[in-house]
Amino acid sequence: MREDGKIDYVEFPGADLSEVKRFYGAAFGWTFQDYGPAYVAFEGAGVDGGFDADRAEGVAKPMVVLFAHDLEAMLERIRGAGGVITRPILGFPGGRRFHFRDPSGNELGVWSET
Amino acid sequence: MRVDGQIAFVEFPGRDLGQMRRFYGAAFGWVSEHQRHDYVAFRGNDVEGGFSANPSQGPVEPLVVFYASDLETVRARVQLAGGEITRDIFAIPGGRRFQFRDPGENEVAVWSDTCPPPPPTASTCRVGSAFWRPWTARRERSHVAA
Repeated sequence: MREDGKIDYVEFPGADLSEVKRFYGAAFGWTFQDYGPAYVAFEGAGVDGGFDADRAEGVAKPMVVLFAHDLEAMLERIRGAGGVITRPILGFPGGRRFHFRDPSGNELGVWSET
Repeated sequence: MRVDGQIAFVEFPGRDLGQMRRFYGAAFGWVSEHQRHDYVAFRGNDVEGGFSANPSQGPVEPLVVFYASDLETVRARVQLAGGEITRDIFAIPGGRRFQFRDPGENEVAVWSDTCPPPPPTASTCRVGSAFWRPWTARRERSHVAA
């Protein structure tokens, strides 16, 4: 079951997705699911995640994504605790997400299915 | 249970560790614990993790760490598959790890709580460090220097 504020997903930038799939499949036995030409999700890696080949919209470096049932409430809680919202809530196929920066400058994501 | 090749750990750079504990506690309810003056471990996630305030030891950006029961074999497999070793095997409290660059230019790491093939020495294998709880699940595997 998914829980609020827990690490749920790890997203990596990926350039050549077929090369990335070949590498992680050969080295670690991960399995993959394509979502269009610019995104591949992986499974069997302990935590779900994906490789994003979209240079314009995708992440610039590995991003840890937390889960929230109520995205707006979580955004306010992060602001209240001193986090800085770096990317406002936006929709993607399957849900919505936003990004924030923690007090040490790490950028993380939060996503929700609703 | 730890499984070979799975994501086991996420390590974040941290500056003010007290502030990091307060923030992640307040915003997400993460439970954290100071393990050294420059390191805080957090729990309560499916993945373990930590904040490191030591720039020479810790990562400069979030670092995803995979598990390997046999570090030397996985290093060979990573190289064979085209990964580039950026930091060869080094000792960490509770185990050993190496870092590599994948074909997407991501730097990631692999760690193990097991010792290399015998004879292990105290200087290269310090499994079971008392103040590093998340890494000591296999404390019983500690080897005695030959």
